[in-house]
Amino acid sequence: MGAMSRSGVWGSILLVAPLFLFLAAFYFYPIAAFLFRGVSTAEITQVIPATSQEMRGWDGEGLPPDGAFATLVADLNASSQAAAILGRRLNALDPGMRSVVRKATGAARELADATPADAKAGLIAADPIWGEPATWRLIHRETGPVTPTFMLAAMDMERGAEGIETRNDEAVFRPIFLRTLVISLSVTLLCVIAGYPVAWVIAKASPGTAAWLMLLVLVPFWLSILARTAAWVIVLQGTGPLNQFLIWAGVIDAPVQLIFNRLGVVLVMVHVMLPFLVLPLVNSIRAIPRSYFQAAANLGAPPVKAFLLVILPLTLPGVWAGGFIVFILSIGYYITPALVGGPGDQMISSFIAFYTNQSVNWSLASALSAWLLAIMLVLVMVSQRLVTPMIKKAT
Amino acid sequence: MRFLAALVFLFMLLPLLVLIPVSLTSGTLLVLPTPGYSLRWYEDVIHNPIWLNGLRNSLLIAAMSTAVSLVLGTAAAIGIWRMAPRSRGLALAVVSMPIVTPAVIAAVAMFIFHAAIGLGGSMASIVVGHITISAPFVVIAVLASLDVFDRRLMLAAASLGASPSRAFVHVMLPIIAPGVLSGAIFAFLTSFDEIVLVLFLGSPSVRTLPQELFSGIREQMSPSVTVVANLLIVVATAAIVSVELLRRRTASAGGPSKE
Repeated sequence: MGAMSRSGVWGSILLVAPLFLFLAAFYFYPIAAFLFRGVSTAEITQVIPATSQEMRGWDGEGLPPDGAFATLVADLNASSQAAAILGRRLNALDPGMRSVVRKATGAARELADATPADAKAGLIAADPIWGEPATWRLIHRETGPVTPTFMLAAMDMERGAEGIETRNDEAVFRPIFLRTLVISLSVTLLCVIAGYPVAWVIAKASPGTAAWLMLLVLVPFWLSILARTAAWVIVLQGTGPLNQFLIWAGVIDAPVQLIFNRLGVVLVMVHVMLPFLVLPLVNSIRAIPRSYFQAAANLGAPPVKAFLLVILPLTLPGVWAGGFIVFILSIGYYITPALVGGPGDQMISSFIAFYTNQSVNWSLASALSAWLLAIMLVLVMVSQRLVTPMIKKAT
Repeated sequence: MRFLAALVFLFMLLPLLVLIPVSLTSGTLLVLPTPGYSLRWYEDVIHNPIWLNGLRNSLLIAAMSTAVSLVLGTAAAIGIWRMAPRSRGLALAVVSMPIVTPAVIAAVAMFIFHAAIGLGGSMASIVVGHITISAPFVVIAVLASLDVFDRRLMLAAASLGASPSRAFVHVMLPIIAPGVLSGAIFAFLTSFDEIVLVLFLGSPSVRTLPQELFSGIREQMSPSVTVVANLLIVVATAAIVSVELLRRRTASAGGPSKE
């Protein structure tokens, strides 16, 4: 028996190994490597290796020794890409650094054989900023083993003279994280409101009817999101059937904007997410013993009261499970806001895409992703550790 | 409750139905009622090299990623099924990660990684990306059919002298075949409809149908877009109905009882 179960374990491992290795190599490793970019300094240390080495031995006080200026000159002369990459990376942290680096690169060509003191004088002559300790502290910081700069920037924070400072006046990303949470929460609540009756009817229907109703929920679930979005664009457009209907019904006098705004995003997302709520909820309603309904009725409870006091609490775990999935999937959502949202409805995923494609700042894209995943992880942990047991205890 | 549920079902299904009349319009605008009906936009799509090329790429990519997902996913499902309950939960959680992780993060990460290993912009890049998100669905579908599979059958086959591979082909596979087929359909649909990874991993030379649809919706929404959307809906509906029929067959034929 012992030998057999051991061969059983090895058999299982051999069977799962190909998929796990594939996922490790082509899914988990790329994501881990991408997330590490957010704190990595490799981009800079690779283009100015000698200067980075020099910076490690420097204490960060005042100006570095003259040798550091000469080393930087040598680094800038050694690689044709150094200036462009260094300029782009430093510019992202301190606007204006691109031209500062460009001037230094120009000066470096003339200073190739200069003494360290001349190199220092030459760089400062090219741009007096090279004579300021803050510039060198920036380079010192960004050539260390890791940098928190992008993780801070993704939360609108930066390292100032007195520790970490929050940029409240020009907050960019925290409002977007907040907007992501608000949109996701609205989608979740609407899904609960719309999904509850559907789950209820499916759970109470005869097995045959239930199977067909379930199919009505499942088919949209598997339909191309793009096909559904195309349908919604037509329904919601200014000349679309919904506007025509509302005008015909006398609710409005002129077509109203229903799409390319928050309303459109939320509506289409509810359409996409609803099945995720209905499926777990059906199971939890089905799990309620029939006798509970009768017991409540026998004791004279009016249907509404019986529902609110007996049935609703019993289905809370299902509502929570479904709502939680909807919320988690919503906060990482990309396609719908990209297609039917206005500029003010883009969620954090859109900005990850933006910093990858348009403004090539992979470090910032990585830091934003890390925060998004961290938020999801915290939510999953809170849900598993606190809320689910609490609901179980309460019901 | 019934009335409310009916309203929600209307909300789910009605918008999809507008695609049918709009795709059959004889005009050039996406308005209802249509000025008249014709098949001109269907003809337009059938003769348009952009849509045809996208369709060809999508079918190729979906076929390749489904084939690989099916082998990796079925093997993994059997492996997970043989595990102790505790490790089973963990393994399933790891496999399901690609389903819940935001697609954009995976897409950006793969975009950078594939460029670094020389896959960037190729069809192989999309296939590899799609396998990571399709295979989990195969695992889940096959595991569901293994739930009704009687473990003792494999022992019986072994005691009669069948090698593990022979027992798999002749005993297990026929019984879990509907699950494997469902998994294949889910994997195919996942890849065929996938848009986020493709937006990052595709290149001008490898454009898929969803990508053309995406640009169509974004740039110039024409009735051709609704024709393609309609076709996708028909394909997906047919696929899901067949999965459901398969599921019912397993449930009624059931395989051996599980006591």
